[in-house]
Amino acid sequence: MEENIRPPFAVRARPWFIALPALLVLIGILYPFLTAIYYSMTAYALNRPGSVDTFVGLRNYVRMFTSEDFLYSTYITFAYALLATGIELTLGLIVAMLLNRDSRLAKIFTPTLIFPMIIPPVIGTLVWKMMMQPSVGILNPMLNAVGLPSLQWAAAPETALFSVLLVDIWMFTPFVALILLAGLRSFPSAPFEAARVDGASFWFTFRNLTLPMLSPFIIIVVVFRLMDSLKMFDIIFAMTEGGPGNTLMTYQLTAYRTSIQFQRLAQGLPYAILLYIIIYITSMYLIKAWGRAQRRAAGY
Amino acid sequence: MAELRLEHIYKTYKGGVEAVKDLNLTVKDGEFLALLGPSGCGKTSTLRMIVGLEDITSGEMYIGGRLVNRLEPNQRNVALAFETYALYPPLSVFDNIAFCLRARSVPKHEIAQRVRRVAEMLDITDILDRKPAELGGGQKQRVSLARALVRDPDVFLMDEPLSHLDAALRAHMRIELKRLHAQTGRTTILVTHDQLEAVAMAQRIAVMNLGVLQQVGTFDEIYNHPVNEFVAGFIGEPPMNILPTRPVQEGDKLWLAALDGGFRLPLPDALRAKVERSKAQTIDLGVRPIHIETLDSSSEAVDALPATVQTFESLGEEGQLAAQLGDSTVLVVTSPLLELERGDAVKLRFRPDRIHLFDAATQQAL
Repeated sequence: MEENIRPPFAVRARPWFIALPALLVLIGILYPFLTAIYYSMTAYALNRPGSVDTFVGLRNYVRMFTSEDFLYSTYITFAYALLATGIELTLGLIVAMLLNRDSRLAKIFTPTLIFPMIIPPVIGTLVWKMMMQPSVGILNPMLNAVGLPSLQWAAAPETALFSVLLVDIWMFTPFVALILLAGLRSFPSAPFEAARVDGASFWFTFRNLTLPMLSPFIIIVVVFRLMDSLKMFDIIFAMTEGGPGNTLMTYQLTAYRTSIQFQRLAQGLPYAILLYIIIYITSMYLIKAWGRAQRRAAGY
Repeated sequence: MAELRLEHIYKTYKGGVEAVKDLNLTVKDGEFLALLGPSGCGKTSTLRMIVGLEDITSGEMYIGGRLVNRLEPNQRNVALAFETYALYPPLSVFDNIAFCLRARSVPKHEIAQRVRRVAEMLDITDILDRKPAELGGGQKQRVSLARALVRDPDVFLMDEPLSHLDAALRAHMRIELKRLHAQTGRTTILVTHDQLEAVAMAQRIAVMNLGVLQQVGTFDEIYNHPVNEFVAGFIGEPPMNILPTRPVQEGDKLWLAALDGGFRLPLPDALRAKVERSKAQTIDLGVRPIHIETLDSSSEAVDALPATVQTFESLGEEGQLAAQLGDSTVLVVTSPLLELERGDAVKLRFRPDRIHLFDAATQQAL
């Protein structure tokens, strides 16, 4: 009798099959992450295989926090992320507002937004690098043509951040614009018509109606862009490898240089783990804010 | 406060759809007018042109004697209560109502005062702190009205204001809106497809169909003297019976004979002149269900027409009889106390003073 009641294997196994992908992902994420935390507390260097067994506690973390480059690295990591996110958000919002109308020009331009996103970041960056090349690149002659002096672009410490930001902005502003445009297009038209009848100016409507209703989309964009630019690697690496000098040595670049190029794996890991914690806390906060913004935009 | 005057207004959309054709309409200062018509008749396009959300293709529009064709909505001083309420979702009820005052930089204490006053008028002082999504349909409706009224508009427009409310609330709001109009004395235009709303609230009704204004007048004028078959059929519930007939001269008497041979009706003298003047070949005879008497089949009256009962429903306060007259079905509103079965013979008598005649070719009243 009992065998008859027992459901067939396919039914009993179903929950496991459903949970399997999540389980695999969990293992795929958790295992390397925990390993990394463990390694960061050893003296592991890639050129000394036995060193992985030497447990050193928090020494690598102390070394990071007391390193003379740590403060600058923090500064450049955040400067890059905040500037990139801020400028892309502003430009993306302007582009989205301009494209959010029923004109032929908007119909032509909207699909072109996708172009920078389908170019692999490294390829895009290398093209920009060639254009920015101080002696043979095309950008300096263009500057000269409008009466501006030549720039050293990524080759000079003063303009290196500006140069990589330019590429980041070129590459990701369309993404921001697309998401915000999707947001604007999702709005009902009636409240905006009501605002027109109510005699509200463009700015008044923008401040009091458009922006609050768009805020969930803005926060989504900020989540994506802030996370991405905090851990930006490909553009900076392809452009300058973190140079000139240590001008663009963000956490991510420092971790790579220390762990891989200098082969001192354990000493580079604290940067990566610190970056992880920062991103985790920031995204948790932003996602909470997103929930609030969404309720507010929906009228609760 | 102002008079609204539309002169030869046309609206043609991209692609050539003519939504409004040669509309001439004057809404008097302080008047409550209903713009009534079926879906797609051009009433909403007209309303949007008055507000300024839609360009006027040609023609001239005056508000208080001022040409407003080229003016932006905010320069016209008109207010619109939207069908979907169109409240500003992120703002509280107070901020929703205060929106237009803030947009015009009205001083703060005056805003508070005016919002308070209009909120009292609409009985929504207790929900001023709430957000739109937390409100019920009736409350949203009131907020949308408050928002439109707070700025003292010259013309107050309402687009299907009651269509999303339940029946009880609708009946209540009809009275409220009428009271509001009496209280504020604003020139008010109500757009609706529901004749009951129009009749209950408006002083005059403008009936539109297929972009063309059919008739403007009081309910009495439109109901008793419809200018064409559309108005005759659109106003009144159940709708008017329309029976195609042909005038027949017999001796010195003029008769209307049904085209299907179902009946012959001696033409009342009052209508005879009309028929003779029009020279129409076929005439549509219109008579409302409540203007038909149901007589016993033994009745000898010369204008009693023999018919057969198809269905009879007693609806409590009234009875509804569908009777076959020739090939046509005639609806009759009767006393609920009649006892009629399918197939019974009855005689119908159209009240002679309530018969409407239309030229079948032009559909215009004779």
